[in-house]
Amino acid sequence: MIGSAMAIHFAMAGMIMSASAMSGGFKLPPHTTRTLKNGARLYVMEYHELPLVDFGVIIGSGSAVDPKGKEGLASLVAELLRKGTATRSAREIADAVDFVGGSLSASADQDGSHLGAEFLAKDLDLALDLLADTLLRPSFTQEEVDRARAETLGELKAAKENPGLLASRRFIEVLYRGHPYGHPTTGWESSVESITRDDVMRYYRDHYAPDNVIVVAVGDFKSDDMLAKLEARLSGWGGKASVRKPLPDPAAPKGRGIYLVDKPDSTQSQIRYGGLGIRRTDPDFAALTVANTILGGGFTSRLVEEIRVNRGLSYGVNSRFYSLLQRGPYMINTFTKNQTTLETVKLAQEVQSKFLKEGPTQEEIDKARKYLKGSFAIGHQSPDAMADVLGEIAFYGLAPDYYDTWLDRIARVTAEDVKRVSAKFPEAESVLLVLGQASEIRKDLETLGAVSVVPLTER
Amino acid sequence: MPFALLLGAALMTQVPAKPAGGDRTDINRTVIKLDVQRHTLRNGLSLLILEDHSAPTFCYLTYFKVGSRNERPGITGISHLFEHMMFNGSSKFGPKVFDRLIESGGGYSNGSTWYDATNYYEEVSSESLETVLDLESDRMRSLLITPENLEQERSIVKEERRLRTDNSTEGKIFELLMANAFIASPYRWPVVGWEPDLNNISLEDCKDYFRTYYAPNNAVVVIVGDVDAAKTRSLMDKYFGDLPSQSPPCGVIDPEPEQKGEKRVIHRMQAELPAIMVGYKTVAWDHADSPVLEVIRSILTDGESSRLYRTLIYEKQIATEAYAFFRPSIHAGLFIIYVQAKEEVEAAALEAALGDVVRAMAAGEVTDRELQKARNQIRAEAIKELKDNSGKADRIALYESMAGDYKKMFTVLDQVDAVTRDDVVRVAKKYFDIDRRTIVTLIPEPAGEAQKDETQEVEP
Repeated sequence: MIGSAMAIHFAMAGMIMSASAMSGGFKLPPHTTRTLKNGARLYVMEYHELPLVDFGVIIGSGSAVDPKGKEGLASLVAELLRKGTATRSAREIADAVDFVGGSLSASADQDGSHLGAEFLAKDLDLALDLLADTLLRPSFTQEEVDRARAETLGELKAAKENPGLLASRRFIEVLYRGHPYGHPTTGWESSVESITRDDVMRYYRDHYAPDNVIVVAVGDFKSDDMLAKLEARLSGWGGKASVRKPLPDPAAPKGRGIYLVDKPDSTQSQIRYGGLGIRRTDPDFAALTVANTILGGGFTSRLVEEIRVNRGLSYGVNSRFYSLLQRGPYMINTFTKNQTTLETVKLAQEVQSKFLKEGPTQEEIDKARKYLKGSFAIGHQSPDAMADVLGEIAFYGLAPDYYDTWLDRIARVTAEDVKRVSAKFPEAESVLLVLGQASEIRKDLETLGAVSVVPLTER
Repeated sequence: MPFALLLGAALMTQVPAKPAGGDRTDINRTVIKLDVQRHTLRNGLSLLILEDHSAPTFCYLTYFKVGSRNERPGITGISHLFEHMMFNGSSKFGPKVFDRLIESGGGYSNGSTWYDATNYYEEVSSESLETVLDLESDRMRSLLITPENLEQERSIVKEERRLRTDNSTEGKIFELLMANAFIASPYRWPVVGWEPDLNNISLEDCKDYFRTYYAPNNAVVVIVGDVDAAKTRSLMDKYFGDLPSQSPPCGVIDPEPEQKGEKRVIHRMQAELPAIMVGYKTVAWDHADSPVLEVIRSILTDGESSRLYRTLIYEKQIATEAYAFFRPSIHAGLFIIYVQAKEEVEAAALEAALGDVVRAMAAGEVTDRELQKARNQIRAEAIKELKDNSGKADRIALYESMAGDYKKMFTVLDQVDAVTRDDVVRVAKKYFDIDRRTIVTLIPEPAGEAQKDETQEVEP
């Protein structure tokens, strides 16, 4: 809680996309859906509070379908969409976006690839032209592929200076070893180096097809008008995405693993503790949201109370389910000075065990419900937030009224429900990963069991 | 409620037709109007209310006119440490109650501290209005300042310092830049404080600090959202009316002498990539060159068509990150540029390439389209900042406190529109002067060899 004068990036949880634990008290404004003949699915919502329009394009393939040895490919393909099309160079695209004060972003996560755009409503046609052009007609010139690969390698190098990000990446690798979720979406240096223009073209051809695409538009426009404009730009797009095998179920870790990543000059340890969590479509999602809010979601959670408020061991601690198409990770994130590393680890584990064993108090249930009720409305005052919600419903196949009934489902969660779903928090099959100065903390960690050392940067 | 009234109360937008022809055709003329009601309590507390009934929530923001500039050596970091203390209970509500009540009200709270000010805000559901006023007035009236609270927050803040400064290359060299660029300005010490000072802050220091700076006459309260303005105003009188005003705090001046020569600092620490952070001495927020510097910042850094990205990352491919930072401040601050090298690129090469970018601005190489792009980007950004209740409250409080009138947030945009190419050239020449510059160079040391994590000043 400090407003430093500079935007210093701090990625505590790493680069995992989450469309997870949001909440209710709230009715989604009406929206219209349409499926084009080529399979593209459109979701359109009018939102007139501000003269803005937001777009979200989701391609149903992400880093989980990166070929072996080409980890990072989905992310590189997404990045390259904005780097030149049949009719516009990378410079022209950037200049067109910036000239009107818009934004156009592209990225990939495990399950999907994303294009996002936010423009003033008066620039809506330009925004649509740029989106359609980058999505349908990227040129992937050799020059831009080489440049994007080099940029990614630079970012991977720079990420080594971010202890929080590194800890999360290593945690995911250890947890999902051998599974398509087991590599960072940005890839590894060795795999990114090997990506060629052919790899990029093949990924695009296999996955960027209208039947694998969802387009969301929210903002200050008339729905009919927007649908017509989208259809005009997308209906000529042909082709089908290649058929993919369903993602395998990730295997849970055997027992309780303890991993140490050595960062010799560090004066602070980054701690990650958790395991396999849930799918986004888990039937217990509401009960788990309430449960996790109590354990480590809000600012008055048990973890915050014990670790931060009562003992001042850390500036921040939280727990979270990152739910995906397959079981995503669950983890507790925190950090503390070298000397209190073991104390903090043990305390976090104790707080979680006690909560899972004994369950919540009625007071905690009431507070969590109210908090979740209010926070959804607060978090959804803008068109970009609405676009995220619509995209989530579409992508994960949630019921169209999912968020209209969300509040009711939260309100019905009882202490017994929380206790019942506590088995979905990983405990006996877990990963503890600490990134810090090994010479200072290794002996302490060994009192918990055998410690495996993981390299700082690669697998 | 009739629709028109609702719109008028919340946020009026109008997009006039584009004028025909000329290079200003594309000017983004989207205009936003905020209908804010002002009221000053008898004890001097300023209150601004903006009704917006689009969601059943509101934001309550308190802006205290105190930041690290008001500190002195020996207790640096007290403003930020105090921000933490403010959540630990008051006479009517014990420790831990504040956050519990806010979360039970379906909301969250937070605060931030910087050189010039400290703010606190919470967003909660509309029915919690009185709860919030009760909590907020009680902590302004009778905050619990106890040895236990102080020790707890001291250790949390030290963790925060380790996270953001000591274990962050960018945080570390930013701290060094400010500390070396300024020799007398209160901006020379870090907002988070020097660690020995954090250890030195006493309970008495905290009590004095609270009495002096957290008085109602040193605060601006902004309420935005689903509230009734008239009713809220009388509730504010009810809850805050009895708080006594205090004599105004001592003024702080800016004694910084003119810099007449470049300063260079080398910092060695465990890192992967060299980086440089450059700061040019500029001016206070109300100086006529301030909007021009804002335009220059935008041309250098906004978007992938910006000069820093295009030159250093896209064309020359020598940097992994490059940005410019400039924020209007009460005293003269810095125009900052940060560049992190790509692998196998030396800091000297970054410096040379950055020098070319900066000289091009002063040499008048900025195009009309670039200038118009900057105006459009700044205006669009201003609109996006007003997306939600907390964004609106934040902007209103900032401009009301610093510029004396929240409407200045729009005047600034007009000033930006009026910036010409000649202004850009003149201002770039004046401020991007090597004699006004301080440059910190980060030299990476391999793991395990950076035991002497110290800073040395060298001759240029």
